[in-house]
Amino acid sequence: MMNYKVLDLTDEKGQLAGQIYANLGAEVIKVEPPSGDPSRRIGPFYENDPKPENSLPFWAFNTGKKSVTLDLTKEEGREIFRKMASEADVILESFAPGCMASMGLGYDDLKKQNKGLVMVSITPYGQNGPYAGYKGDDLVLWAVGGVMYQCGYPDRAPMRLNTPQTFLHASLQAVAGSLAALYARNTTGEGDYIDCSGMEAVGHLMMYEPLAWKYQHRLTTRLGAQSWRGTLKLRQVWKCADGMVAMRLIGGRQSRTLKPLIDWMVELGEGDEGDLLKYDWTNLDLYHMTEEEIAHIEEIWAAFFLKHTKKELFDEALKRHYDLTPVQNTKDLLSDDQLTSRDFWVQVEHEDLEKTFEYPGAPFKTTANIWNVRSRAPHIGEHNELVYEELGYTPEEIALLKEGGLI
Amino acid sequence: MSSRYPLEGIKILDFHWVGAGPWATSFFADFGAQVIRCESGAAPDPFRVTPPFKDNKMGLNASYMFNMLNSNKKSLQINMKNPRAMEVILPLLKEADVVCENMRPGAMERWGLGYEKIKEINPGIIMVSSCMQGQTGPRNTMSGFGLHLSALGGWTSITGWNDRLGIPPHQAYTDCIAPVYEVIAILAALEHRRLTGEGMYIDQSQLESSMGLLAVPALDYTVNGHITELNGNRDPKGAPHGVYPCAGEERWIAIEVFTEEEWAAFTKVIGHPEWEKDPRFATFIDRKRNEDELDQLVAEATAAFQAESLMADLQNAGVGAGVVENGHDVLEDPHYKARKFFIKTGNNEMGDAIRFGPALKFRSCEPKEGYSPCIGEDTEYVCRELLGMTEEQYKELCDAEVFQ
Repeated sequence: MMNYKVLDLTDEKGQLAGQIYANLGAEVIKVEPPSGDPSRRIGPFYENDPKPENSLPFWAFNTGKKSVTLDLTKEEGREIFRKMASEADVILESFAPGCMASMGLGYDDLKKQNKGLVMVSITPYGQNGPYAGYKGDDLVLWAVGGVMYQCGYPDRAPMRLNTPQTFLHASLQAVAGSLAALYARNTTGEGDYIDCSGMEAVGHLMMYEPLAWKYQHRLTTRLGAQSWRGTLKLRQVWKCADGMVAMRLIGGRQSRTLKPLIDWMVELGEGDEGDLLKYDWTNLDLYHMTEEEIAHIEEIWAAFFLKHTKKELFDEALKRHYDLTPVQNTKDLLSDDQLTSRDFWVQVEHEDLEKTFEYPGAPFKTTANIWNVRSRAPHIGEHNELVYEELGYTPEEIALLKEGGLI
Repeated sequence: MSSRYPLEGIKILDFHWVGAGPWATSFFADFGAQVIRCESGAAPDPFRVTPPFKDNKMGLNASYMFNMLNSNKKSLQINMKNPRAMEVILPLLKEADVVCENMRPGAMERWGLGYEKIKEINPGIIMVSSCMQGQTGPRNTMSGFGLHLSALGGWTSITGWNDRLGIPPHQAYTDCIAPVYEVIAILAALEHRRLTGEGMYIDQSQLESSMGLLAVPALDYTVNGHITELNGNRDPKGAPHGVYPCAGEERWIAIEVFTEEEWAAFTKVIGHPEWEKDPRFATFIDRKRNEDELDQLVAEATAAFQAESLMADLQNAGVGAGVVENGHDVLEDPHYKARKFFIKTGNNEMGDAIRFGPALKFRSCEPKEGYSPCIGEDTEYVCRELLGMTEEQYKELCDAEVFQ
């Protein structure tokens, strides 16, 4: 339960933040320019038809919100926004640094009439610093933030994921920060301003790398399908009969987590006589094995996995308890046993299309059921009448605002 | 700067360990909450023995990794298998707003600290259990590492080149997502309690939390039946859009060209103004159609530039570009420096060290730059100051080997 009122001015950089508020029960109003939010032009699109109402990223990150249109480039539009802001608990915005202030809508302007206001800005590099005016979308921020360098194959360029991540991390930070500020407001009565940066949200994922350089003068290099274990290179992803699986050699007592696989392989007569059984799989002495020995085990595994499907290898892993997982794709995830047994996927009705689609559900389950995906993403200005009437405008005035191109 | 932190007053009893759990409570500790780590001396937090170490010598108080996620917390060393541990834990639970743990499902129950029991002691408490795949379901106790969860969660299927095997995007990627959702869950639960007086139990599955960031590929499948696959560094909105080599060893630059203006500016900076109107590349559609050739030519051109200066030149011309920064680069990065991204930590044995600070900045306060606790450093403080035990009572528990 949450009674907050949130105004969401963000494009793709901050929409997840507003959506989390909406799913937690807040009233979230997406404020869009009369032509629709620019992020509505981002694909993929419903039925591959690139209309603003069809953007799947927009659908994905705007469920449960209301939408109003408002032209903030005009002073009359800004006056309406000030009225809305005077009653808001949280404002989320992702314009370039200084843009809100230049419209007279900066935190210092808005808090004059609402001292409890919590405002969050989400930008590529934050509000200040030498890169503040630079451009940066997902790829660039993933690079400068510091997590890309270790990802990829040694003979090719470092890489990102094939779906943008940077601003989703920044949006999570925006929610954590603004909820913290709202918590403080209960005591102080004062709001706060929070500066979220995509680069720093990425930097926050680095963990080991800066410490490894500072204290060991070491850099982790890319190994592709292999990974480092100390100075050893161990294969971590493998082809199987119908896709890929993930598994890695591991030494010491943890090698017990591999033993059930070895037992199964021996049962099936894999490997040459004694090849797999000459090692102690209750305490594998990995660091004293030669590269040839490791390569030999990995060759036997590679050949074995190719003969079996993802499902066969994983079913057996769950039965026998060895650490191997299939590399699942989005199709696999929709029918994943664990996710479906916990009713993870939720049905969202698109009554306008007379269809229902499955969406990702709650990121955590609570006994009080505080997370609910309440409705599909709104159409452009779908809630203009509702919201502006609540704000005190009469239907006639709203009609005039429309004619004037303000909403 | 004010000395008030936004989360002052919140009390967290923290049974987390390793990476993701302590990462979540570090947000609370950095912004003023009281976070008491309950730590076993016999089975210490593996992050306490994770390198790099002070002077490269392993020790329970020597890990820089532990500092990273545990600064500003307190450490209570306690043997939960000792029945008298409850004389310390129960009064702390009574006072706590939040208790959290990320052990295998069932571990808290074995200590007699399942939610039902804890709720009897403190009805308003918020309890979080965070684990790989959730407290229920057929795979609730499945073991594994980040490698396995990245594969299971779909991440490995969308990271890589389309002519090679997919790879995990970033070690233990779901560990990078779950902590912030845990912070959000706790703060939302505190607000719910403020309004209703009710506490709650939160069951966090790292797998499920991470799905929120996979929402677009998920919808592309559920809505369009399209499975997102490996696609290198390409993006349907831009070309060139990739990572290209620069002068020197393992120097790379990421470049994003989305508009015609950016394309024109890019060709000039890179020293090939003739590309702008070249029929192979003149329009976005041309560049997409000939993207392999374009990427090849761009890679040949960037190789002559120093990464940092090319980034500055492209950015100054209005083109998105960034050095692929390694662990050394980020420490020297002028922007990270100007924004004080790396801050002070350390502990009372190792002295000062560094860590990255929070990923957001409040107007009202700077993040705390306190030390992380040595193991058991605050045991006496917790017993004597917080619980009000007499010296005799505390010594008796010491003698009973509760604090091991």
